Amino acid sequence: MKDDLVRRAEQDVLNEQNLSDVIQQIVTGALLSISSLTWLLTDLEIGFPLLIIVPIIPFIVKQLRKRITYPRIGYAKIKDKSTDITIVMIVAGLLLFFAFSSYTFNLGIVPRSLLTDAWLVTFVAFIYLVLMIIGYLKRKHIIFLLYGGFAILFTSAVWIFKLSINMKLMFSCYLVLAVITLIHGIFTLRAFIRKYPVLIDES
Amino acid sequence: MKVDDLTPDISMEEIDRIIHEPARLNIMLYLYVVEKSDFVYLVHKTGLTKGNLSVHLQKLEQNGYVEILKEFVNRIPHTLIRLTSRGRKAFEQYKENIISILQQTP
Repeated sequence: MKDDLVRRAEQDVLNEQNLSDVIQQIVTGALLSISSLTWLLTDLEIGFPLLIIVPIIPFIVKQLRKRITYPRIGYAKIKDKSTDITIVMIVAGLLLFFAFSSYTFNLGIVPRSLLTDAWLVTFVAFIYLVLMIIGYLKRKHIIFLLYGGFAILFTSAVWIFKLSINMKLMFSCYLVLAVITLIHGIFTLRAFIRKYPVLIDES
Repeated sequence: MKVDDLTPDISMEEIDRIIHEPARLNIMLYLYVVEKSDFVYLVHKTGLTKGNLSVHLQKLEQNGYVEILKEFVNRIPHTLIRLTSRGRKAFEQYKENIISILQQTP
């Protein structure tokens, strides 16, 4: 059993290396904004832009961190890989789900009811919520609870206001949330850059 | 209560003095929870000055507790540090000894 000091230090490192720079949040916000805008402007399936961009997200995040984060707070290779593996598995599952639903819908194999999209949103939100709960239990960071709350609020809105009947309205809400995420991320990153100046390795 | 019950099984002499110094203990703790880190990370986490950190790292390296790898990334010097298996064992032993002493001290 790990003692408190080591566990706290692990949480501290995980949170700082993965969350303090909010680069993941910015990239996610940008991705969601692009997806919803694509849907609103071109009527393409939501899965389409996601399928293209999702596999390169880790690469984008890593490159941004090399330029912004590591010169300021340093780089640490974290031992615990279980969270990363979970995320990869869930993202892979989601991709398969999106690909399958788009494929069957486009071929007319599965007729689309008015509720199909609401269930799709609920499914994605549920997976997301589970991820956020795992994240919070592991790292004790408030951001996981906030994101989980957003997922519940958005799903509730979809069902209560029957947003899936009006897809344009649903994707407009989706876009607003994505833009709020993106703007909040950019302001937080600005504060991070001001707080931590670049340190030079002079060992 | 017998006098023997109050006497710790481990004496203070058995505490590793290299790790016991607060700055080095901090360095060892942060290296213990990661696979490896760079110099900037340790400056940031420990709050030590670069010179001070270098001295402590040298001491830990001399005792075989850490491994220091110097490289160049885009012509900029980059120092990677990791705990050796000896350092990891020494830190675990240090933890056990300190806990044992604290538990047995009346």
